[in-house]
Amino acid sequence: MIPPSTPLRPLSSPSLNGALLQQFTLRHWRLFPSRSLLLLLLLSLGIAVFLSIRLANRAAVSSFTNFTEVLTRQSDLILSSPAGPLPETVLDTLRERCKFPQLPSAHIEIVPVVETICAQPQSDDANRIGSRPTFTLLGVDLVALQNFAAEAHLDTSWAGQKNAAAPSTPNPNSLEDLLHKNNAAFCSSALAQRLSLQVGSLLPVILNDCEVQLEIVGIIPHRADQPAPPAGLLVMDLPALQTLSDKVGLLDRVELFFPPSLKKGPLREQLVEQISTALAPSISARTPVARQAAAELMTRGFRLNLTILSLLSLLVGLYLIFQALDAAVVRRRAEIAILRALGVREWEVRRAWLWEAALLGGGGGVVGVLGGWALAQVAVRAVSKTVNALYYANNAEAAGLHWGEALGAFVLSVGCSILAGWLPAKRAASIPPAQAWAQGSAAPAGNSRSSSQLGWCLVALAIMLAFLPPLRMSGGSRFALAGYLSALLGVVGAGLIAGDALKIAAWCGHLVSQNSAPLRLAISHLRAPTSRHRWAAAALLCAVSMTGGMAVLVSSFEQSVSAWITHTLQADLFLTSGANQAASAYNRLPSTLWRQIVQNPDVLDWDTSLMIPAELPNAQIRLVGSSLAFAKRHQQLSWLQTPSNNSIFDPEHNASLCLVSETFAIRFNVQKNDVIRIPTPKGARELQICGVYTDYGDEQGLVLVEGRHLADWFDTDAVSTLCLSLKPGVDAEQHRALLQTAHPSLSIFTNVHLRAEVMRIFRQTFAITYALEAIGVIVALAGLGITLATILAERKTELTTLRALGMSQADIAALAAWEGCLLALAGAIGGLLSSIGLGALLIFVINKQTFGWTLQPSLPWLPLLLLGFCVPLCGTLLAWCVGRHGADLPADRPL
Amino acid sequence: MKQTHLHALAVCLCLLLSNPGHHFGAPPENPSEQPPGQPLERPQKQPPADSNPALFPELARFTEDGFEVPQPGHHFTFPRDHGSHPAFKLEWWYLTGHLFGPNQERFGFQATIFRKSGKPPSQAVNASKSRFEKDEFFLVHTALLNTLSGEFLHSERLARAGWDASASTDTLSLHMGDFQLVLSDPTLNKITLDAHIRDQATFSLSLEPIKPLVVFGENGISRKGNSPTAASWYLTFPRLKTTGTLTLKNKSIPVTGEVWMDHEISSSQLTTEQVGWDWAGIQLDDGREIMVYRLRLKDGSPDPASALSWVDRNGHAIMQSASTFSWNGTGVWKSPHSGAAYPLPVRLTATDPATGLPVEFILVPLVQDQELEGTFSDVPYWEGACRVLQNGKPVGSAYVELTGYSGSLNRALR
Repeated sequence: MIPPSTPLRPLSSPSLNGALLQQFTLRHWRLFPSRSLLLLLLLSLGIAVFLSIRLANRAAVSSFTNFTEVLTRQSDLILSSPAGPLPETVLDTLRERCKFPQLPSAHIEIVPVVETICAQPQSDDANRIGSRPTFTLLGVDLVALQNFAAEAHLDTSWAGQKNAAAPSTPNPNSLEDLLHKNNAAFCSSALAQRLSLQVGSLLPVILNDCEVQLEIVGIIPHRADQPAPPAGLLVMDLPALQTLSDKVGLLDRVELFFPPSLKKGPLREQLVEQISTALAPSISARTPVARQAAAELMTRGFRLNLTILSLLSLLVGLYLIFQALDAAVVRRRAEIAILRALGVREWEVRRAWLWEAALLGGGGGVVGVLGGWALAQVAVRAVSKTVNALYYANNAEAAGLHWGEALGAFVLSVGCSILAGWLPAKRAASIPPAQAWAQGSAAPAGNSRSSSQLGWCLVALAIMLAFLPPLRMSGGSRFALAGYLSALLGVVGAGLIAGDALKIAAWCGHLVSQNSAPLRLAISHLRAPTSRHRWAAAALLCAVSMTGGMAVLVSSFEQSVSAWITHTLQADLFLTSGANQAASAYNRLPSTLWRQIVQNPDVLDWDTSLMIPAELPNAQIRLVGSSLAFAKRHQQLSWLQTPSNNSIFDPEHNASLCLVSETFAIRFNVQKNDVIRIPTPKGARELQICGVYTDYGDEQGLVLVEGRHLADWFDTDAVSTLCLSLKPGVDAEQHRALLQTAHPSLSIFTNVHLRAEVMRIFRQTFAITYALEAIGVIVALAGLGITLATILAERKTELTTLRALGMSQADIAALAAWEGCLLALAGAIGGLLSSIGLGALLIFVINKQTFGWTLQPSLPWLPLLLLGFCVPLCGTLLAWCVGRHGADLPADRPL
Repeated sequence: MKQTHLHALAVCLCLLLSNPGHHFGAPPENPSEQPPGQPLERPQKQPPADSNPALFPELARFTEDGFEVPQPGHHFTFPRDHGSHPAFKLEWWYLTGHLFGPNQERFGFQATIFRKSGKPPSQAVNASKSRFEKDEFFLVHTALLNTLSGEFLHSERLARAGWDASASTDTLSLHMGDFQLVLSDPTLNKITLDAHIRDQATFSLSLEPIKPLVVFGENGISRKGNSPTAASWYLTFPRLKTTGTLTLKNKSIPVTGEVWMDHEISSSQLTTEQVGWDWAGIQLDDGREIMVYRLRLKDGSPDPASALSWVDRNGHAIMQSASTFSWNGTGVWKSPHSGAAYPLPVRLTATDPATGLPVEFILVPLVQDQELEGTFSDVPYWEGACRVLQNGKPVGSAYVELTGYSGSLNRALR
């Protein structure tokens, strides 16, 4: 009671906010802690999934490090040949050209580098691509490296490292000793620990066609203030690695290091420009940042797709927050009315609701960030495997918590929560007190007609957006912005229309039985669905639609790839280096080896393939050389634009002709008869495109030329792969086993095995997609449970009446189960229907615009039916549980 | 002799390239007696010597690992002998000098390039030169003292022979990165030097001998100890007139001055009894020079191979043995970097051959802190510009090298 002497005065704004938060928001949270907690956890799951994918992507991209940096410092310019290796003679040119009279102090360190991928020999005969651990072998001048160590006051103990297990070893390797060992290698301490390597241990690796025993001579020294060398890095003296990797006289790149005083500012830019211009076009110069950006560009489409998929759970979560807050508005109408009657203004009520949404978002954000970081440790392996298989070698095994990403996820959580809470807050603030009292706690019926109309408008807009072209960016990369917007609007629009599907579900339920009271009651609820019903159905529809849409895409992709490999993989046996476990491994088979193999009398026909990465302006592609006559003879190519000029198949006349993959044609906007310029060590070559073929194994773009010409341009007779057609009657598996015994360092596949491997890798790349979809559906189902629980709570009076009329707890559980079943059925069927549209959008628009692959559409009936069956089933079970719990009314309990 | 110079860099390079904790450059116990591939030649010049040849055993022809040992009476031919000698294990070109700017600036500088072979050419498996040699290495030390600011800059760089480091066997033509020392005019023996100290300083100098080349030692041989392989050919331009440009912190300063240049060729120089050495190259204002080195034995006494040579105005060298001169510190400078206590300034007493009277010089550092860290070898040493005082009056300039005062060298030697 207020003492008479105390004057009544309005609460100040902060006090009012605090009071509202305490008495209005937190009190309700305390009253229904499990519901609040579940909502928070669902939101946090959405955030966690999103963040985990972001962190995993980041880890995979950042694992594309310039390994030299670990040994020296960040270089300023990286020089490489646009195609093929650099000759060592380039070093003389560089030393000459890296003198700048105007900058006498600009002493530039020139560091030549050889880098290659090697793999551990297989321990069993499984021969699974990507199953062998791979290492990056970095060849640098160990003597010159001492200068960097001295400059940074580093421990220069590359040489003389002792066996930790036997520290009294009398003769550690001196630097001179190291230089004379052709197999001396330094490894990271992480690898030494993992493989129990000591100084003097032998590490067998496959390089090209040979197994080499690397002698571990020490741990790679590194500065305490820098990240530890990656586990998969091995360092050798440059000439030793040149010899081992068959690159004598050749370099993979040269890195330039400016003096610290020129690290920044216009002088540095001037130097970069001057060197780049002086060396172009035979040498391409890129800063490490640009090189990293190129790697990021390479995987951008893949990463973007994953990120967008990861937002599915959050999107579904938003529906739930909206519902939960909307339900809370209904539940608390009486309180709102009291507050309004006491003089709390509209905007203050709205602000209280928004605070509640923000708190929910904040809590979800914090838990989501922690969960996201944990999930990322799992996701990073899946992302890393895919990046390894499709793009470049990377050894990302753990994802660090990036504070920028974490903050972004937190802000997203709070922002989305406020966004979802905006409408309920507005509704809460705008209802007059008298009306609030009058309507009690009934859930709003919602305006189904306007929702449907808006939904149809969004769907129409989505259809229009689907016809817009992608955004084109540097290097021929594209971003299907309109396609993604179309998908979003389509899914949201379909969700808004979901209310109508509830009526259809009610009608269907009516057909099933008219004798069951719980069913009839459930149908009556769905005939006039509340907004709660509609949003639950919309969330389910959204999840099912996206899951189904992705299933359609994956099925179409799988069918297309399957058809492609059936068409392409015609030979009986396929041979490549056992070290080629990742897309970026370019180990080769020397001519002495493959020529010996093809001379076997069991071999009927054979072909070789040489693959060389090449660089067009701002874009990485691959050049492939093989016998085009062989390809024609075995009908290996699936044509999109069939060659009209048969000279392309004649080695005597096809030196200036080529074929390009579909991805290349789309990426660079070229077609048959266009002329392209490709770089070679013997100068740029102009090639006329004679045809366009499909290739689902590469998204960067392939240029296919006659093998002998490519070998001539790149002055090599080694090949990347060899395929053999065996004489009739020869058992491929037996022949493979014989070859494998004779050449254990090779990966040899039969046709059946290789096809199975391709499909396995294909499915592996979609593993994370499935996981994301499953999480989305789980969130939606959990949302359905929350919705039904809310609805039942709102109907407490009705349920009490029903119990009084003789309905048992089981009957009420059955009522909830029917309601949940029909609701889930509506969401699932609506989702499945819209998934077909979404699938088409993914196949014909988003995939085509992003990756450039034409896919043959295929409906995965079984997964879709399974989804259509499982979602209502789970919904029914969940609803039954909720109903049984909700029917446990106080009236049932003994006094 | 630039012996001391030799030693400092020899230690650096040998320590770096060989096993940690192993000896550096110690002579083989059983030098090969195989006949040499190179015939003995008539010595170019017989230096007036009062040294005692009986102190030293006869020189071996080859070291145990097959490198040639410098022999007396060698007939030097130029410009070839200014160039590299791959048949010998160790070789260096050592320039120290005093430069002056137009605004009272005074600088001391050091630019040294050192070559070490891992195997003699006769044992090379592959005759073709690789761009990444495994058996020949170069080490460059550069240092610059700015007496106005007291700043002492220095750097070390290491390279293997190949694309970025090479030494011609025909003439003086040494390259290592941006460092180059080239005989630009063989007729006048003009030399150009381009060097840098990281991005802090560069010098581009033209050097022209004011006095003829001196070959130190008896019969062209400079003995460095009682080992049959501890000897070198020691060639010196004691005074090179120098002009050029010094760029310090992006500011170009025209400089002139005088430089001392040593070129020493050997296959083994140190003995295990020697724990350090002191060296000085003194340019007196009267046109004469003094080269002196003191090799210190474990008991603190000078090795009998220590020597002092006067170079008269006409370029003739007069060698004096270890017993005829003394080298003592008049104070101690303790390095804040390595903790080594260097005996500085230096009091040098000897007999002036012009007068036959004893003479005493005090070598006073222009700046105390001229210690090089010896990053690669962990063997710090002091190499610095000094003024030369006689009876308290300046009579010339000098460069002094003090090695083996940090203890590291002793550890290395053991």
